[in-house]
Amino acid sequence: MIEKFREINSSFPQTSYVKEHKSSGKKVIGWLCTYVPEEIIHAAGALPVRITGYQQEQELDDGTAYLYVNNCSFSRSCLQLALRGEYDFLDGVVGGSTCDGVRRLFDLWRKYIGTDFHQILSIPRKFTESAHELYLSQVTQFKQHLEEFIGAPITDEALVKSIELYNETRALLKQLYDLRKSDNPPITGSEVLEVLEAGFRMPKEAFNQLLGELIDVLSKSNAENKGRARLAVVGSVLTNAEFIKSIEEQGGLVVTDELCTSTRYWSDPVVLDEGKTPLEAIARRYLNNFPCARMYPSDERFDRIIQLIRDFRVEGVVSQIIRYCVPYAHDLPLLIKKLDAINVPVLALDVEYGSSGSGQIATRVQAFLEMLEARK
Amino acid sequence: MLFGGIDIGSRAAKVVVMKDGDIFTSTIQDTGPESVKTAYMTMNAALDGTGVKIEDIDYILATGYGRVLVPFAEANVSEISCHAKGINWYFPSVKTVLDMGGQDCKAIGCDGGGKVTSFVMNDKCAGGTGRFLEMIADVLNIPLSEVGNIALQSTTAIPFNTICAVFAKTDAIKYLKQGAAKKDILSGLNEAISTRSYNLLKRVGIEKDFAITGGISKNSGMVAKIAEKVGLEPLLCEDPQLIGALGAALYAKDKYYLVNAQN
Repeated sequence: MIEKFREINSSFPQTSYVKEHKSSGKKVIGWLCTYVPEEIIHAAGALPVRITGYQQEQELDDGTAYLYVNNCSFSRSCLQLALRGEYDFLDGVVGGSTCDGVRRLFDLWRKYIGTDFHQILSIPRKFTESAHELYLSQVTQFKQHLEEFIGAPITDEALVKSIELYNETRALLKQLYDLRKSDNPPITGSEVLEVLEAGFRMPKEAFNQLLGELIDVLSKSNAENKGRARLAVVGSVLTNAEFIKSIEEQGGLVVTDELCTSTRYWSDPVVLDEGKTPLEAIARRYLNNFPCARMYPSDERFDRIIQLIRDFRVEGVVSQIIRYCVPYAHDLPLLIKKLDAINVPVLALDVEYGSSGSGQIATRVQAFLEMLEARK
Repeated sequence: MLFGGIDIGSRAAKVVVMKDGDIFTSTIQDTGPESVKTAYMTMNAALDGTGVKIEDIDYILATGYGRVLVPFAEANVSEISCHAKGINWYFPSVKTVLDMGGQDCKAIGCDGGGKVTSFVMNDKCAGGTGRFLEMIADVLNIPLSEVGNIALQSTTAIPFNTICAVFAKTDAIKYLKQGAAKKDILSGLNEAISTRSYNLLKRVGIEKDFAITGGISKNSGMVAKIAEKVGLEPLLCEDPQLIGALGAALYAKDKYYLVNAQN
């Protein structure tokens, strides 16, 4: 069953779904950062596609020629793919001003890639009412610009339908994660990342269908993954499933994560209340969602991580932080302190985007697993 | 009963064979380009003249960066765990270990039973490791084994503001050309490396007793600098470079009894 998702990921970044969508004359809009509401793109009749960098760690010569090396390798990797024409299929690109890496990437994208439609949303760092107002105004403006670009209004009815569809994806992914709470989960952490990756480059209608089938198969299967210790992976953007696989090959059982490509992507549903427009409901969800390390106060994120640790009975946390990923790097000492207080050790790894976790990283992971085993 | 530990490091390969709870034989050899050949060569060198053959050893366990490539090892354990285990055999009171190896440096916190409680490793670069010192010794044209003693004679260390292997080498050549004494250059480099090691140690937390292991701990100048910074006299065993292999031999014994208890 997992093969179906691998098949989708095998053409990257333009999947067969993207090609099909384009050939029907419809738009494809790339989004960068989880603070961009996908529902709005979907409600406009366009296919939202997540922009990521190369699937593996790469020599980033073109990327580094345009973005100085003190920009993270994620932003340089994305830019290099775009510079080499791999994102030419996009009709638009939408970003969030969440960190400097993504902002500079967006600046250069606009200047050199020349995608037809582009917009960057200002994302407040707080959860206050005035922050919500600001964010709602950004989301509203984005919707208006997109309507002008598409040449048709995005109706409330369409938004409600999109919300329902995306909430279904979130509910299904929660079911998938719930399966990992068992002693011997039927799916590995690296497989889960492959599933999510596929979902970023296909219509949610088809993804939900596949997810439903996968959950059915897994619920009935007697596949069991055993491991030496239950782990959670936290930190910077991570898309290469090989990284998690290399941890699991050493006997680590990755049961959950705090990643913008996984848990932080799907965790909260959009709540449609009486008296709230669909757009207001969307804006509230996206700003209040399981936060990125760039949000303040940090405890909002730490408390959610601690909750994950309890729910999934995590014994050790692997933090992987891309060099120059400032928000995550700055938060790490605080997180380690919080987790130390509940007696959960953290393995802190410095990585580049796309790392497969080989070499010295593997030694550290092995030693960490030995340490966790010795604690039992 | 014979238990073997083999530690294929990036620069040196070490073997310790234990018999009746004591070290029966040991050796240190240069690591060659092929780990499998290095493994056989090192093990054979250790066993040479003892009348024991590889197959006579009841259980062999490998560690070090070449640990997965030892054909005659039945299991492997990371060098971090092995250093904690090995030092515990010599000094059960040790709570903090600094392992200074050929291509990396590790600070390890452990309990009184030889188990790791926390650890920090330097990042990918080889600055401030054994390989780095080898390179500088080469530039200065002095044998590696003399680096420590020569550095100790210095009274005015030349400050190095980098331990990047490439830049420090360039700086060392520049100072040599300016007529600086080799002892002052070496003392300056020891200062820079010990500062970096001290920072690693601070990240795991320094608790008494403190020990240094790995090849660099044979550099007396470095040990003196680290002792000064940490404020604790490091415990040094007879041959600190063998600690990883010793730990592996001790794990071999544990694994052997674990496996046999299960069967």
